[in-house]
Amino acid sequence: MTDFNSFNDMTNFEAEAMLILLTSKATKSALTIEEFINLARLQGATDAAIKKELLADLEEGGRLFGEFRNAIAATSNGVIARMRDSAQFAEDLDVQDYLWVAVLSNSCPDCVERHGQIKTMDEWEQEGLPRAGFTVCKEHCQCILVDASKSVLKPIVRGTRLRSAKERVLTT
Amino acid sequence: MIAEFKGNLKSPDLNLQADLEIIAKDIFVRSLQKYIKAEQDINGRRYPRLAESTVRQKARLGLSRNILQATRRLINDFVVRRSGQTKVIIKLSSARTKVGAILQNEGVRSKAQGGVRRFNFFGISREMEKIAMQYMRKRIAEEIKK
Repeated sequence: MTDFNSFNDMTNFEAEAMLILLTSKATKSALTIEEFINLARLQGATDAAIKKELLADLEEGGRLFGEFRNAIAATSNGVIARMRDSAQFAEDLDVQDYLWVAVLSNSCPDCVERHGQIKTMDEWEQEGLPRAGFTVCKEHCQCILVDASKSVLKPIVRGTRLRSAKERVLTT
Repeated sequence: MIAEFKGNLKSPDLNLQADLEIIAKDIFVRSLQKYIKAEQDINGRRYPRLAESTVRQKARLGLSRNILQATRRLINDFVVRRSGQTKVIIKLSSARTKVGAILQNEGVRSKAQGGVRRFNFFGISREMEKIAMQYMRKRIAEEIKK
């Protein structure tokens, strides 16, 4: 099972360290707004259409601005309650490998496939971080990345039923 | 004939790190400082008044009686820095991190107030979020005009 103490330590770290972490899009091929507009113009879009698309995406927290909206979202009562995965501390903690942990309850097929995989932060950024839009669930993804060195995923093992003396005799 | 096409038709992503840095410095940190000066938490609620004993002690030590502004170090210790290619961090400088965490998270015991007082001076308020959104709308409009 995932080490929840490790996860709680990560959550407390942000609160204890008095950090606000603002995260942008994760891919290395990401464009600036200016580059995006120029690209759209080259593809034949009008300025009005581009503006409408960008503003609509911003308001809805869609594909382009979803991460931005998450980054600037208000915290709750001053508590840093937005910490969702330890990957956000990649620059501050000495963590090399990250384990993808899916909720496994109505998870999308992409997340189920990623569950249990271990990669470095760079590799996960290439693959797509949770809620970056690279999985079927897109910004609704509930998956997290945790420190692989502290987390071991094991299948859930139900407690084995103690056999009665009679059963033990019958089976031998 | 059946033709099969597999392609990666993802739309491009936006890297808004530069904008986040501007938002962090010009909107969030300034707002945090404004709230501290106004003796309010980030949701606009005024902090309860200091106990008389605290006020007397501050006067004895020659410190400001304004809440969270005794030495004026906290208000000036917000740090904004880029982190990697995609992140921006706002934090207190190391000198005030521990004090800030105590004030915000653990709270301080207050006999006069009957319990533990927490000073929610650090975080993102709805007003700050709203101003950040206004900034981005304006940014988009300005880029389109170019």
